[in-house]
Amino acid sequence: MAEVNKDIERLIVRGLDGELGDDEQLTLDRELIRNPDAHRLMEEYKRIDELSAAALDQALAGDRLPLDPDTLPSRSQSARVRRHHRGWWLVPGTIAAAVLAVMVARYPVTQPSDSRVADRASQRGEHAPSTIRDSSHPNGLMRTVGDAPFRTSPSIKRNTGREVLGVLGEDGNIYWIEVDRIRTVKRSPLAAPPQEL
Amino acid sequence: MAMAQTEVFDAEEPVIEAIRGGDRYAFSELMRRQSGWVRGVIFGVLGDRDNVEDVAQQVWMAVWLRIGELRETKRWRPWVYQLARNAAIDAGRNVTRRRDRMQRLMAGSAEWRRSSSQHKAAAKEPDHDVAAQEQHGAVLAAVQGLPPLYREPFVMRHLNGWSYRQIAEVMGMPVDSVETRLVRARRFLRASLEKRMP
Repeated sequence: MAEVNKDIERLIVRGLDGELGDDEQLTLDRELIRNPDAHRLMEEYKRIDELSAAALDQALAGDRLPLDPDTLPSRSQSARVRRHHRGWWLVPGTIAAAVLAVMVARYPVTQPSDSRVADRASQRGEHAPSTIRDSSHPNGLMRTVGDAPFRTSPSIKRNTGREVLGVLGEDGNIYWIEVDRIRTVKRSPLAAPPQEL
Repeated sequence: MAMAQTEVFDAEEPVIEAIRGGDRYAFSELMRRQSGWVRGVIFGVLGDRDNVEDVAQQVWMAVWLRIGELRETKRWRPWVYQLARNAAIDAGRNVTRRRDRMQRLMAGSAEWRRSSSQHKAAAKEPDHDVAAQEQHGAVLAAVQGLPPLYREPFVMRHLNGWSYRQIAEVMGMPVDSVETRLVRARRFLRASLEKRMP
């Protein structure tokens, strides 16, 4: 294969692609007459171009539709999707709310209601009821504190910790679920039950 | 170095505006007229025509859904080109990953070897014009074997007949670079086809 000057090769390619000006075309024509190697190269490139165009055309061209326009989703659907994506701030917001909820659970803001009841009962020398209804939940959160009669010791501490859980609803709202939980921090041995008179 | 000047593709601008307004008929017309070069871009990136149609569907769906993101209507072609190119790059990664996984799974499997040889035998079945098909196959394989850098502008030039300026505009590069790549693509193809079609 004879070598052809790269500038001439460039002219040949540009000539085949129809990118030459008049002066350049004249230069190329002169070179093709003068240089049989350049002429041969142009013929080879021309054949490669024709074969490539035919092969690509057979493989890829055509006016067939890639999609059926009737099956396209409506723009309003895509708009809904975009609006949904604009709520990205919900993610960090939810995380912040969760952190806040953990902090509230660790450092409860409310005093235990049932411990007050139990303390008052012990001061009066009464038995505490076996089951105490949480006054903050009149709808029925019942907590069993023991069946045996007992006297509460000052060292018994019960805490009501409030736990808050944030749930992202399908409607986009955040729903807060608050639960008061009893936490027994420390419990000393119970004293003997008082004798019945 | 001459930079690409803005080429005006006015003919499709009203169509693009109609599509913005939700006109499905305009969209189907745009697909009909422009899907050839979009396939060419995908093929140029992938170098494999098996997945061209699937990726083209994704691209046109993206055009329909994301037309609102197109800022300048007259720049629709580079925008579609970029969508097609990105989709093809993603698909190429997936294909490579899937092929690697399959090869790992099937390596050494007698069944795989049998089905593979059956597939090759089926591919070699003679048709009405074996010589022409073989020639097309050899040329297409040579084009597929081009480095992507050269394959993309070569396919645009030969499938779509685009000028250097049009190619430069959609690819976002100087006209001189397009010219250099097309010269080198021819050089590669000449060497490759000499081996395939002596």
